[in-house]
Amino acid sequence: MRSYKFNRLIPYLLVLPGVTWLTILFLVPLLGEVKTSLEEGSILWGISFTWHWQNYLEALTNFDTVFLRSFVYAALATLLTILIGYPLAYFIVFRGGKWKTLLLFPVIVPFLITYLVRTISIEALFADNGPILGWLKAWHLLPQGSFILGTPAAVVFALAYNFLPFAVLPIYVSLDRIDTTLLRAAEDLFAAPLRVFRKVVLPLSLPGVFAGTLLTFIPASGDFVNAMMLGAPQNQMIGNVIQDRYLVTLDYPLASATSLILMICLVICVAVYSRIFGTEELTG
Amino acid sequence: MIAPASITAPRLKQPSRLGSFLGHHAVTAVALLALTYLMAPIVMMIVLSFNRTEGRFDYVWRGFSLAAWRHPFAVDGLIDALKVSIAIALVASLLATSIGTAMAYAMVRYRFIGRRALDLVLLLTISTPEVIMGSSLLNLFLDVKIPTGPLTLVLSHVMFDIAFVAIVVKSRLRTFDITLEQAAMDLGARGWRTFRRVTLPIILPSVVTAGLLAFMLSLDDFIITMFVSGQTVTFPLFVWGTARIAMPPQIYVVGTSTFVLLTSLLLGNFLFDQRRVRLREKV
Amino acid sequence: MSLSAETRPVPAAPYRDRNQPADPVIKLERVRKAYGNTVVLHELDLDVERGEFLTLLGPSGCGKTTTLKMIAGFETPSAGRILIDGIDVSASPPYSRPVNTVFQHYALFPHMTVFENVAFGPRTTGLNRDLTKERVTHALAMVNMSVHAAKKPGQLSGGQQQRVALARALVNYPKALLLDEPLSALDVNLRHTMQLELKRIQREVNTTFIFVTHDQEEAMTMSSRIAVMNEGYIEQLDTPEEIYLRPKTQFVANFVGRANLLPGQVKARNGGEVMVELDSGGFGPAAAPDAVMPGDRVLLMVRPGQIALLPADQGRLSAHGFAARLRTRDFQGTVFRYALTRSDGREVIATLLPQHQLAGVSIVDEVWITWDAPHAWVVPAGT
Repeated sequence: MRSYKFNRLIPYLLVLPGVTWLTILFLVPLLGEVKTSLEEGSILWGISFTWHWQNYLEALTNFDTVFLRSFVYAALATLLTILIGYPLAYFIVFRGGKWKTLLLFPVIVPFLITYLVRTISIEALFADNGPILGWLKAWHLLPQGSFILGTPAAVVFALAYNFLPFAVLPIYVSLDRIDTTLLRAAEDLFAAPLRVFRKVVLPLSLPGVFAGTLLTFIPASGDFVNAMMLGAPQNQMIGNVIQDRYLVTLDYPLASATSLILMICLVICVAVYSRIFGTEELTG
Repeated sequence: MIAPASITAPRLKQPSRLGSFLGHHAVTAVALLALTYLMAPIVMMIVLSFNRTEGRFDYVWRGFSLAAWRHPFAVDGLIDALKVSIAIALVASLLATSIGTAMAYAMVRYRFIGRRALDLVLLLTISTPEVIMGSSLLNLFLDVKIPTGPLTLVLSHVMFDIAFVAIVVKSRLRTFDITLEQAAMDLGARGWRTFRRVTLPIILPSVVTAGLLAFMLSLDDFIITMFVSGQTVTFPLFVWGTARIAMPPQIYVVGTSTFVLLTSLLLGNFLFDQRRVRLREKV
Repeated sequence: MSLSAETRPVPAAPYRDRNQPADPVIKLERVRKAYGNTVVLHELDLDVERGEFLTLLGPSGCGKTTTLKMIAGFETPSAGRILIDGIDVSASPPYSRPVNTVFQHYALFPHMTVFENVAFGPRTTGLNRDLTKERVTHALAMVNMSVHAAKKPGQLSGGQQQRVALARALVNYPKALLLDEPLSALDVNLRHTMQLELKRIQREVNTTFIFVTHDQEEAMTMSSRIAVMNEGYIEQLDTPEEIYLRPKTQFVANFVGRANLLPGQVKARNGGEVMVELDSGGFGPAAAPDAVMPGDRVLLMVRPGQIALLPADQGRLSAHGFAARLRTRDFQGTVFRYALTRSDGREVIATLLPQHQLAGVSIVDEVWITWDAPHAWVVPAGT
């Protein structure tokens, strides 16, 4: 028989590899970022740690419009995904019947294509003479000089598209969990379908909506791929800035500061949002 | 209720033909629109793979052509990039699945200090923007002077895969009947044996799903990969690289092929599961 | 087993409708329900009297729940009509019908408080605030849940949830309250308490209750009338007393209480009694329905509690009945339960009070089984 002491250790042993990995490759790097954000200098002249808070100031002043723009784009994209995703999830759960799980396929399947190829296909869709604009122009429904690429609309649309499953799946789960007897009870108590939705379905699906909005908004605000491929320089998001500073200009301190500001903003957003909605369980 | 005589019957809503027709079909309409919306880029991709292209960036349909399909790997570096991506994804998903499953099991079956904190950290890894994770990882590797390349790629990919695996396996374990494990232990099987003979075979489909998920996430990853790949070129990086210079239709070919392959895998997995359920019902 | 003292429907309805029809409050006319090729209800005719406590009793699959659902509006009849107060509601959705349901697992809205749950119906129909508050408070008081008005269903026990579900339905003054096996999820003691509670409340609010259960004891305790159902038919619709003492079919006899059914033939008839010659030997009198005539094949029904045992020799000489061998004798808490085997191998069960036990009798001995004529009944064979 194993000793009692050993049994007590089992969960810790099981969890150890994961914890180690995550600590070294997630938590430690974040701390490293904090350190870097307070450094000063550049590759050329040498970098030193001097509690250089000016990095933050510089980041905020230089990129304030970009920060704002990123959050606006992310918010719009999130709104769009919810507007599209909720009815879709509702349809699958309540009209799906036997085909319920099968109907999830069309939602998941687009995301089996590489992120980039997906985004490029969207770029192709919205090309100046591509299938959509080309047709509209040929029928003279749009002036010849119209374009979507390079506008905020394109970036927001692409963001919404690329993060759709993150919104749909949590909403699907919370809608699916609703006991159908509750709906019958509401009907029994004189509620017509619209009222049943408003008073029973919607409130009970809110945890899913909450999770969905967070899982969409947060990654979207840090994204740069969509802005890079479909946007013009004036549509650049904060992710582009960070990427640029890190990989192109190699200005690590500034980039780190910018990263951390983004992180802090997101934490604040989530905290405020959670307060409004109450704490929900997001992980399985 | 001993009601006073003044109580009148409640006003009950009679169903209106038009109202219920509209309501019922409005949802369907939106859903269909959403499905069209979802499928549009995919259709675009498939169509463009058959495009006869001229010049570098060609989004205009110039006619049907199988040229790209006949020579899917004609572009320099495409095959190598694919190989690299697949190799890294394989290693990363195998590692992540083992680590993640172990974690999930511990978190569901046991109580230990820091379990809630761990839950939070897992949530953080999923929801932190990749830009932040990528840049901080690069930072780390630079500080510790590890050269960026396949090693750093695997290290990073496993990191974000773990959380997804843990979540999938955790939710499966939650619905797992613990009395089965108790029965096994009652019959003398110790921890590992119970897990290997009883638990694992039953939760295997979920573990496999989690593994596939990790594989796809790793294969597909762009942002974090961009930061920590150094000179190594994975498929997404390759696409990005060529997209800036010229857009060969072969990209669409590879995209379409992976799409068809993965869809069939997913569909197959689903049908196989259905068959298993049906067989079990017969028993 | 208490029998309901009310066998007459109680008049009075809460609505001011001037032209209150004296008709049955709910009428099922030739209602039939089939799912594809499976027929669940065959040509059902049912008149529910205003103010009665009607129970639909039967085994799983007999159609009782389907019937209830059709009255509520969750199922539509394949054929036939459903009328509530004379109005054909067969095609109306549940929210248009003036009846309310208490569901088996209560179906309380988890995101609303007890008060909001009960207020749901009134608010949906647009009742003004003050009146709603008044009615909800009254309803909660009636089920003794006023203290918990601000709690959420998750904080309540099963019994408490059930009472809230009851209040939520009754607050709307439904023309009938439909209860779908509401007590099945409660433990035994709570069940008994709630059975009496429901009876009390039903009398107090003067509302028609239609109750579905498979538990015949429950049905007997609470109902003013019982409809015993089997495989889509109503076998008998009567007061509990009638059903127990004078079942119309073999199924009803067996389903409600334990019955000894002995095949035989009617030899003679004298007023309300007949003399039956039993197939396995012996003969005995019994009360009989008017339609039974000499020559008919019947099943003689004697309840275990109505059997008297005599020593074999004495019985053979002095009483009607027949002989049987004692197989087992157990003490069941209040009575002794005897299992006896007849000459044809069939079993007879008798329950005797301690003071009526037969002395000096042990296993395998022969005893004489007898009964009083008014306490036996015949059921036509082949039903």
